[in-house]
Amino acid sequence: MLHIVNHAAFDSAAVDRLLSRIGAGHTLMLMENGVYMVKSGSTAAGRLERALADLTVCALAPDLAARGIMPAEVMTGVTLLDYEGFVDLTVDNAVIHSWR
Amino acid sequence: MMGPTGKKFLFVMQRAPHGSCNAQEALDLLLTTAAFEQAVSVLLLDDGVFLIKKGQQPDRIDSKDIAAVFLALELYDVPRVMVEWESLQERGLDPKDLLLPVETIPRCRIGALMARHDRVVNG
Repeated sequence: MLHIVNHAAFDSAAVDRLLSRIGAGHTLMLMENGVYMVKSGSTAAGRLERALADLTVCALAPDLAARGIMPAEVMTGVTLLDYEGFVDLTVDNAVIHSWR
Repeated sequence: MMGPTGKKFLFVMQRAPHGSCNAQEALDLLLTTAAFEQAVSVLLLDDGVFLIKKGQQPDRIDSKDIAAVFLALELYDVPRVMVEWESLQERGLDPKDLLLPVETIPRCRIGALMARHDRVVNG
């Protein structure tokens, strides 16, 4: 299953709430302002890194670039996708939820 | 009930009832989906749990009675209303504070619950 998040959350409760609701083996796709969460050193990135054992984390590369986050600034373990890769992800996953 | 070609739909509602049309629009879509004999379930998360709090008097602020629609869901074969346990707890609520019997789901099971449906719809 694919979970899409297009807004950033940095307070620990919000990030934990999101991660708890994502099932093991699922994929989290961060896009638009959601990509700020994978900036290394952020509170969100710390929590996402610890969750990598259970889920796959992807981020939309054009959205990172647009926000000035260079690949070197992205936490390790994140799969960077272009639009085509994102489309593939939506095709490969039958169930998709966009989180508010 | 699920028709022969029916899919399982899960409507996820995360926002409080008054102050926006989100809930009304989601319920309209939900009832339409149910009318086409698709299996429909509802999951209330975060402020969405307030949608079915007992004792609401929406007429006091000239607002629509969203809770009444939930009470009518059984007529449309929407038997399953689920609520995240933690969302209730965080808001000082208990299942007995709600208008109808619900199934409580722990936060750690939400992802698995969604994955068991064919479509997840934002409400």
